[in-house]
Amino acid sequence: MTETTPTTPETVLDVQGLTVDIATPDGVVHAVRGIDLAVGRGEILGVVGESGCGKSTTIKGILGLLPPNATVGADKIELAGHGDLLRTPTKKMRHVRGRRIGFVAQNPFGSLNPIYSIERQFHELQKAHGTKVSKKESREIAHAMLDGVGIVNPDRVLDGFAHQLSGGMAQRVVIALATTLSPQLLIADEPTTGLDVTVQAQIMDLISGLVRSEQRSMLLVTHDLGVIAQYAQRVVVMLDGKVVEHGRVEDVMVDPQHEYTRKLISSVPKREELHDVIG
Amino acid sequence: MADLQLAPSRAAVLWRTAKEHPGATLGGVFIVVLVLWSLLGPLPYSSAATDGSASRQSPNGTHWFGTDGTGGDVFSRTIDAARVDLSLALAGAAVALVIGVPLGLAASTKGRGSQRIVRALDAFQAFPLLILALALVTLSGNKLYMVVVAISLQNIPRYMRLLRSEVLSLRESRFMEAATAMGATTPRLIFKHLLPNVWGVILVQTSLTIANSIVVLSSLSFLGVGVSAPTPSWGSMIRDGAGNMSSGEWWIAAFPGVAVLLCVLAFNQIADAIGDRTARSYR
Amino acid sequence: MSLVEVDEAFKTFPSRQRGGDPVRALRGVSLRVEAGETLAVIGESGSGKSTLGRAVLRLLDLDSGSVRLDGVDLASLSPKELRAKRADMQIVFQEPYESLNPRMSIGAIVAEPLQIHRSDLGSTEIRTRVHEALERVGLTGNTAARLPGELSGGQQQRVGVARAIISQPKFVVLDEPTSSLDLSIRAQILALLAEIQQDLGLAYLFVSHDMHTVEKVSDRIAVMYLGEIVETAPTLDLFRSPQHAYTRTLLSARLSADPREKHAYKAFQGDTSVRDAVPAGEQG
Repeated sequence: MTETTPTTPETVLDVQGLTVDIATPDGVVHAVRGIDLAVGRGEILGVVGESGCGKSTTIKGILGLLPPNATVGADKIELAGHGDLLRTPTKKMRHVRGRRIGFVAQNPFGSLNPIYSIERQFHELQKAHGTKVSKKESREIAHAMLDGVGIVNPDRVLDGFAHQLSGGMAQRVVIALATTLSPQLLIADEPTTGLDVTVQAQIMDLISGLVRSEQRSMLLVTHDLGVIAQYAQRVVVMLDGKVVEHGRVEDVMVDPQHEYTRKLISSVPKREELHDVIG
Repeated sequence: MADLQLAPSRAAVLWRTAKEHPGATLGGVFIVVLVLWSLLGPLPYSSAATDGSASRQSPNGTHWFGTDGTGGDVFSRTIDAARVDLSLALAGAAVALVIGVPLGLAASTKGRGSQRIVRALDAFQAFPLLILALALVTLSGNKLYMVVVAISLQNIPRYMRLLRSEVLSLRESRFMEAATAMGATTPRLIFKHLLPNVWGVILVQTSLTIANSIVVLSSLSFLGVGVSAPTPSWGSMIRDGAGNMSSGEWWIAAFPGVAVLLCVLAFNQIADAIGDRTARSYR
Repeated sequence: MSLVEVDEAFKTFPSRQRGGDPVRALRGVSLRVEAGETLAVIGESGSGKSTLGRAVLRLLDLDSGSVRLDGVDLASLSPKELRAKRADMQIVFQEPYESLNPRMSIGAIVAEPLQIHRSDLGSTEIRTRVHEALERVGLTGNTAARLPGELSGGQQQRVGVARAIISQPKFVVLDEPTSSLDLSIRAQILALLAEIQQDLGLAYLFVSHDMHTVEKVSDRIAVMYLGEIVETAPTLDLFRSPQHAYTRTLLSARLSADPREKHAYKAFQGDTSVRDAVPAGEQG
């Protein structure tokens, strides 16, 4: 299936044998059961699956964001230029997140602090990662970042608060924050779910542009096959905590090998089928 | 139509809740034992009996909790006081429930009337309610039913506020909209859809109300209002014993005090368990 | 005469933010739904499509304009007459779990419309019909004893459908009935809805934001934008030759699951892409 393995020049994130076990009152749930992922430089790797397949748990496991009742195991979670994330102490992981890995969550309003101005959130982010910047410098950086994510009037947004933003704007701000410290890897968990379709197209265009222009890498988790088909280069299909199929998007989405992938793709309404169902 | 009823049996739910909340279970057992013992006896001594030759004895083999200034047995009196204290507290809470819930429902309609009710409530709660209770009971000539009235007056506004906040959010819920779309009448909306969904918080509030009523009741009788001698009540026992505290005769006031403490603790624990149960049964 | 006739519907809500402009959710909406057909109403958030879905059922009152079902103006009915009329018009909601009373068993939920509208039926007859309705939507009879929280999202939505059809309505509003469901479940529910429509001759008003879904299920599509219907056309025509610029924008924003069909998003002047770039306080 992968006779033409895309020989990416450099692997930025290499995950092997990742498992997540979650202890619940009713016993241990094996949420992620041994998955391998590799994200190359300048590449968007899509992770797709339905709710409960473990895709969100996977990225939370990589980021070290799981609650204490979850146990993460892996042969390795290697981040280029840093080392093994699994053996990185919790305290240091805080610096990895933000500086080396930028995270974009599904709900932008959950990522923004409602009581700080947007400007202050840029400033806090830089302070938290030990960057010594004056308020003025911080604002200049923030201004440039917002400009870079297509916000027309950055000054207004910087002085405002999260609740004054529309969903699409808030997600742009989150993306700007996530890329401020120039992490080489971005991880996005359903970044456009809940946004309007026209806004989704704009946000995804923005994200893929950011990845391409700066030669960053991205792990993109979504349930939306359209987003994967249009923006990712390679895709991993997850079911019940395991990878059932992986490969280049052109291969997997056009000629799926696994039965589950076929079922997923066939449940997206296609143009040709128009009115066949209802007659 | 057995299969149109609620699924899990009530006994099963109760048993599981009891297992998960040992504090509440213990509290419940304590209250039941106390109530039964105070109602049915037997007590080692009559609570009205006095014995001048045996006054102010410290706890010993014959008087487990010691004796008070008139030689009365503190243990018997503490148990016996539960009869009047708990029944007045329960009655007060029940009256507050019966009046507060319908008023709360009335206060959660959209009209201007509901706004007025809320404002009246604010004004009413600005009163120092303990003093109001004190005045009511004293002016009525120490009638016990006035104690019940005083307790319910304190708690009716709490029920109203609780109901109002719950109902206002439930009214916006999808299933209420679905019921409206189905053609449900207002009584049906209230009794089939609203009340079953607020019943849990009402029960929690009732348990807390009983705990609060016990404290109010004890405060009143501590101040010499309401339950009067020779009927024993925890508040008046604490007052009688308070003077002896300085001379080291701690047991006269301490044991009824502990009784109040344990009852309040028990009802709070029960409230916690009900609250937990209610929150989880949605899942 | 069409089954459902909406004429010049206007609805304005007070602003949620203090001092903000009122939200003009419906600005002169007119539409027709014929018996047995599916009219899709597509639009993005703030287009007024959900308000329209509720106004059609008179779950909210219009500022002006009229809604007629079977030629009867819903605003002319007394509260009692309106309640009786509700047997003919039903709704399936976006949030399957939230739309079911968590304290009622599935059987009681599905039985409720019959208890309201068919006081002539005995409890045995109601029970039989509840079981039939549950089987009709692909659930087994013993689901009746369970609580909503014990079912999966797809099963909950099947219950929502059973409740909507048990009073044998002529018209059902489907308010984003599949958008909170997983892809494979979504396809099953859509197939179920189509099947039920054929069997019972129902008319649907299908409110949605998703072009992919609407394309599959509707006979005609009405495109809503900022409280107005900008274009109504038979489904095939709308996809082949969209007339309004906003429709073209919506179509260009679709992301095909086939990587060979590359999309090229075209923004449209004055649309959400511009609103999106202005702080919410300035929108209007």
